[in-house]
Amino acid sequence: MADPTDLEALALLRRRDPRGFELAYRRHAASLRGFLWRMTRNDDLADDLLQITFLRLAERGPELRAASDLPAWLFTVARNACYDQMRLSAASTANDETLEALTSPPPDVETRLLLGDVEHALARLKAEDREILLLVSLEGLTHEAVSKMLGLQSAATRQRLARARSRLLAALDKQLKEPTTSQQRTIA
Amino acid sequence: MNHTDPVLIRLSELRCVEPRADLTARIRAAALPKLELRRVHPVWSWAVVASVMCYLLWAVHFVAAISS
Repeated sequence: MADPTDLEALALLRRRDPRGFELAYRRHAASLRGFLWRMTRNDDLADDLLQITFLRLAERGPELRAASDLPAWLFTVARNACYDQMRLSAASTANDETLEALTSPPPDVETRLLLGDVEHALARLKAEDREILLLVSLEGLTHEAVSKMLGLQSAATRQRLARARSRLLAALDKQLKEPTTSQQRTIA
Repeated sequence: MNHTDPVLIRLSELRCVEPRADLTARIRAAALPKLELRRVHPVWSWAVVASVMCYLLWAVHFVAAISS
């Protein structure tokens, strides 16, 4: 069931009323920015992708159906923009490792200090694992919407989620076991 | 989504920072003009009407020419 605020935003957008855009922006910009930042780990890139997403909303919003799932639509656009950008970056080197490095740069000491345990472990996961974990944990996205977004059957989504979840737990476990660089310095 | 899984609950608690004010202003400035309907210049409307009229007149003239 779609959220009443999203339905209102859609109704306004369909009438090309700027208040619909404002409503959608206020409601989803922060979570989209969070998703994009966690996918790219790059502030400027996340900002650019957020801009692309909302410009697409301004262009296509009036054509959306009244009962469309607005958050699912926005996250689909954001996700596609994100993967387009990753492909563009990877194409110049044609190297999978580069793509992996772009999506999961090894967190340095500074990042480790800034991020929480979960955030840090999340940064270590592959893009597809990180993506599904972020999408399913977001408020407003149904399991069906996530499955549709990823182009997967419901069972496959559950399977991928379970796999990503266990990898996250493994990363958290590994993180707890390995000493941080500052701890290593203290020991040395 | 409805979560009972502690891992997903923890993930849903990850901080989401509001976009910076300058980014929000930039996005608004670029997006809002796109929401407005682009009006077709009247010259183009008249050009379409004139070309249709020309074609119809030619068709009438052509039919009259072959039937006579």
